[in-house]
Amino acid sequence: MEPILQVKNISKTFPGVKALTDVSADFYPGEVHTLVGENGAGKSTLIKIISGVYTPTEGKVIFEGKEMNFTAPGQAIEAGIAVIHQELSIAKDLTVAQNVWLGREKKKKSGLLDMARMNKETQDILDFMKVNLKATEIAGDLNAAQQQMIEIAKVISQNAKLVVMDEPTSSLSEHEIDALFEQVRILKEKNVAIIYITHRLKELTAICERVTVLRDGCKVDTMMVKDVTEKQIVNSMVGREMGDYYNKHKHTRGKEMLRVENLCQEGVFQDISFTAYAGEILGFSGLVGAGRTEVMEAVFGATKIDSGKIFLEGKEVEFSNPKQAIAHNVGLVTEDRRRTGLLLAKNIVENTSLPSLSAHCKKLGFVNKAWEKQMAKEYMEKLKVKAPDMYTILSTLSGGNQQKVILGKWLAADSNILILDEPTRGIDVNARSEFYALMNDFVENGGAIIMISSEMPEIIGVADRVIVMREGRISGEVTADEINEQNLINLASITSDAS
Amino acid sequence: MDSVKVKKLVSENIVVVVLVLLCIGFGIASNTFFSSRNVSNILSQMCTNALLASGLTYVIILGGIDISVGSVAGVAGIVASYAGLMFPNMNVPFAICLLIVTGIVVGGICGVINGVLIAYLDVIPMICTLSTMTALRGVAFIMTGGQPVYGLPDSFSYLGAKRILPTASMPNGAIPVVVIFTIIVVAFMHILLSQTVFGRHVFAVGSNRNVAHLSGINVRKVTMLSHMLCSITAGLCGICIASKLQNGQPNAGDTYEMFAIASTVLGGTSLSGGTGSVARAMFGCAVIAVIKTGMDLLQIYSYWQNVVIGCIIILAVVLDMAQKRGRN
Repeated sequence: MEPILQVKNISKTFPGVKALTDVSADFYPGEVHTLVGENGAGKSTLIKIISGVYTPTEGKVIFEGKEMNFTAPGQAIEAGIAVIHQELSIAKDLTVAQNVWLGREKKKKSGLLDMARMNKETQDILDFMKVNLKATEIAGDLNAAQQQMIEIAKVISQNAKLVVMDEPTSSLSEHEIDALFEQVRILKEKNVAIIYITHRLKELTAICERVTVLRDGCKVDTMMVKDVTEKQIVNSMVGREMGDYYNKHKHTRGKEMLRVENLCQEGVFQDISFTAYAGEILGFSGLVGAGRTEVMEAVFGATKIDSGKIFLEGKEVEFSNPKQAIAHNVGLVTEDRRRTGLLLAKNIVENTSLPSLSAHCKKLGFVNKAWEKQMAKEYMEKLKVKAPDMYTILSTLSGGNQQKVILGKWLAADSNILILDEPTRGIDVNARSEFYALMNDFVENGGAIIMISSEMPEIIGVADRVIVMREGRISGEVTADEINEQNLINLASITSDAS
Repeated sequence: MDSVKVKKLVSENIVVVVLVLLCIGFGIASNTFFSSRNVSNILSQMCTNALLASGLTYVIILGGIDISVGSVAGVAGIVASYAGLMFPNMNVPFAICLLIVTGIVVGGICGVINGVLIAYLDVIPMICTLSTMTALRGVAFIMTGGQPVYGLPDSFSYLGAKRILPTASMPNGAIPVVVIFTIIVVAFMHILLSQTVFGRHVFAVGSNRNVAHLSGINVRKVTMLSHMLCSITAGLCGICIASKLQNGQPNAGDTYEMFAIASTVLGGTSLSGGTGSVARAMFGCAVIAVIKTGMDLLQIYSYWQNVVIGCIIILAVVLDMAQKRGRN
């Protein structure tokens, strides 16, 4: 059998990061080919290259025997490559049929829309899929699983030869997953090639033929699903040499800093209880979407909790906004630097002083510019921020230096509890190593760190104790020697042996 | 290296360059352009626009807009005129105080309305202020029955029409009082924005609301106060107009918002928020004032003047967007 799609020696480099290195794989019609790997392994970069969102730095994409040079996603769709994203792209106010034909509307000779024909063709597809939906229903009235069916109907209407499905089951119930698999089988019968991304390994045996494991941007192996066990796949996902750049310190636990009891936010997370101590790095592990970020935002007062209590050094506190949390010396380094961490168009001084301006202002609310400058200078030196001067605009700095400025901003605000959400995402190895050293300094000086990380080696290499979350709940806690990949994966993922 | 620096300096101060070029151009085309009378005229005409632009700078830095400023000015002028009628024998200091207090109170109330709608009820600024613009203009006409408010004492017109420091060529005074008043208000607005914690918070919210919120800034409060400041300067603009005319016109301040927005954007305040300066907005005001009086001197038909001003606004916004694309 001829492969319909081949990627050959693909490499992709972003400024400061190598996302993919020399990845090759073949995809066959009528087969489901799954990509697995930890977060950051390069799965989404690869599918973005296949679907024309990114152009590869090196290597070729060969589709139906021809080399493709997509410069826009529209070209990939035209060639017959469709992508169903994790976040569905449904226009909620339009009908099912209008969504299916969005951007490719059928017209009458007069140039007006041929709604009758679009409705009929959509209904034919829905009937073929054996889905109980009407073409004229409003998409926004449907549930997530039904909306996904619209996406699949769209793919069928496009006569796509290759369909990429990015974690399609992440928001579906067991029953809905079965219905989705039925559609995947229908696509297979139509000889469509499917690239499937999932974290749920038990799905592999249900619908997949081939599995490719990615790790750190490199391909580990491609295997036939029928020849391997789940355990073998897990082993090849995680079996990596851990770099010694973590430089793990043995910390001694100090007094209790932050205690959280039975925190709940309906539909987001339930029953969250944990304690963070001075002199300790507490890791939060789990899959993306497990609710870790949401818990920390609630602790920081950025979102409201439905029930639960927060204690600082034994005293109960209530944070209804971040200002109060900051006043109690809590700092939050968010996971998305560019969107929620920094004022990119402003300079180092303005960014560093932002949370503490009010606390250090002069009479009549004037900015204390002398304090501000001295503070920015102090933390630039301490954290070794590489920039021409303290008036450098943040958007011109590298990711690692931006992250140091954020850290400096919270140190300047006298934080003694730091919540770090994916602190080293998109940062190169050297900057990471420096950042871990700064984290060690902070806890050794009596601070407490809570670090969310989706990268297992980072959690293992840095944290003294790890709490694992799964689907909005804490699924376990591991300490010391128990912190290994196998334990963390078992607690985090829904594998066949999990209840 | 030097040519790069010069280029940067020019592109950052493009409004100053444009102002100088315009002055040279009009100076050559009309021999009365640089007369002290005309310069003094330009300055006093600038004032109403400068007051509006100083407040608009705040809401535009936030990434918002306020097109109700002209109507707020109209209502403030009417209220001040009715207040003036109650004191037919008032002296100059009392009249000035009365005008300023009325401007601040009326502007403050309008600002609270805009502020609550935008900051706390999350109404889009454009739609909110479009509505308040229409409603407040209606209020101005209802209060007056569509007729101007006449019969105000001479002391009422001191702030808006009087000149001080007479010279040989201008026996009635070289410096309009309204220019001094405007300089004081604008200086206050400039310092508040550039030197205080509140001002810094305005920039932070305009640059990135999420970051500002997570850095402990009360985003709603900052938005609310900015809209109040904007409306208060509009109120002060309104009382200056009423004082200058020595009567209350229900349509006073109509379409002024366009000139003020144009001046602010010409002065380098980005419509997408995050950057801007009150002082630079003043250069924008000067450019608009020079173009208007220059065209008057050259006897360009006033309908054409509207076309020219409209084109300048579009040009300023296109340049703003082009610069933004360049940065990305």
